[in-house]
Amino acid sequence: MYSFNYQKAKSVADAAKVLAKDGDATLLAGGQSLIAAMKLRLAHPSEVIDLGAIKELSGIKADSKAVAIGAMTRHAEVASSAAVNKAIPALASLAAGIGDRMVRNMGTIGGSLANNDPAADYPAAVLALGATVVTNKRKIAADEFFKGMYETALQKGEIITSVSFPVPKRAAYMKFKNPASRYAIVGVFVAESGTGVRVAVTGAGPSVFRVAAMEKALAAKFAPESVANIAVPEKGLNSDLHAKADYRAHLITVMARRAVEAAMK
Amino acid sequence: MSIVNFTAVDDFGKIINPMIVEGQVHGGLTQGIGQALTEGCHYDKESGQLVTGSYLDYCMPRADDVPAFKVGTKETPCTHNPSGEGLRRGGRDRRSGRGDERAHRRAGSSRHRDAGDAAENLRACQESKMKKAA
Repeated sequence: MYSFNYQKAKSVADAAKVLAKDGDATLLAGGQSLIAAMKLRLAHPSEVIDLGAIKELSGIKADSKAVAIGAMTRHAEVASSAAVNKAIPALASLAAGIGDRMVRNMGTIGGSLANNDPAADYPAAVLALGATVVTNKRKIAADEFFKGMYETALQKGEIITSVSFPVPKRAAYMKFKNPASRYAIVGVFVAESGTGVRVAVTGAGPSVFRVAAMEKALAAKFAPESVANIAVPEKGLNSDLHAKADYRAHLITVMARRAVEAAMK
Repeated sequence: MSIVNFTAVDDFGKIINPMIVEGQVHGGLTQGIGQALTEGCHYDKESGQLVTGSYLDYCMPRADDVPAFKVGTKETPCTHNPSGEGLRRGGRDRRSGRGDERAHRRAGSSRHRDAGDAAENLRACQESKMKKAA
């Protein structure tokens, strides 16, 4: 680990001020990716701004139409929240399946989204549910937020404050996890709402993406067999020691079918 | 893939502390399962960089990766141990050979005997799943 300065931000405005001043400063949310990257000397920020003391960034508010989750809310809180379990059970079960117990007790939804790891779970939920990412500057629609591998629409000095998920009619998330990291080798989130069906895939490509052919088939008939024969081309998918691109392509269809099955239960 | 059951019976000679012996067997079994099914070192062919450099990529089995083991012992006192108490070595037997080979056979790939081949096992398993699905 390289040396760095640490400070605890008192407010979002306070953190944004430091971020704007120092181009090498970085935000610390749950630290589940950043600290590991710093230990490996892959990240060397000059200034680490801890958001942990900002109370208004944490917490869950839900009504019949939407669930708003504060950026610093831990995965374990989302997984065990009665409100989330009632409104969007698929989101609670997704949070319950992230990493392991230690990761879930520290990791946050805001940190996960800002990092946009290609194999992270939350991006699939945000994209499939058509959520809105709220920052200190504006509101960003899910379709505009994820830009590429570890890339988002967030600008310099912009901080996620919360994420708002519209409540779907039905939804489910299925992931085939890497046994070592428990990240998704492929994860598919299927959601049906008043505006149609959305299918989002994480783990398979450089960033989360939607599968239009599956969405169209499910809009016509919401049933497992609608997606069972829809293959996603392997071109452009991730290939590494854990799974080659052709296997990931195969898994997308399998996980989509299982997610539809689960959503119908 | 998951292991639903694993039963082991060992003869460790005279056992002094059964709890510690059972713990040794649990550890040995888990290590054997890791070697057979999940662990494997991989280096990048171009750069020589160790790709499995952390537990994010190197799959050390964790408690929830293994079933509740059923273990039993039979005590046949050893006749040629200088302690004169009939002691044998315990636990390590699981790992050194039997545990991982047994798990290999269960995984249906007896040709892979080395720990380094676990990822190959996984790939063979993925390929056979895809063939079945096709």
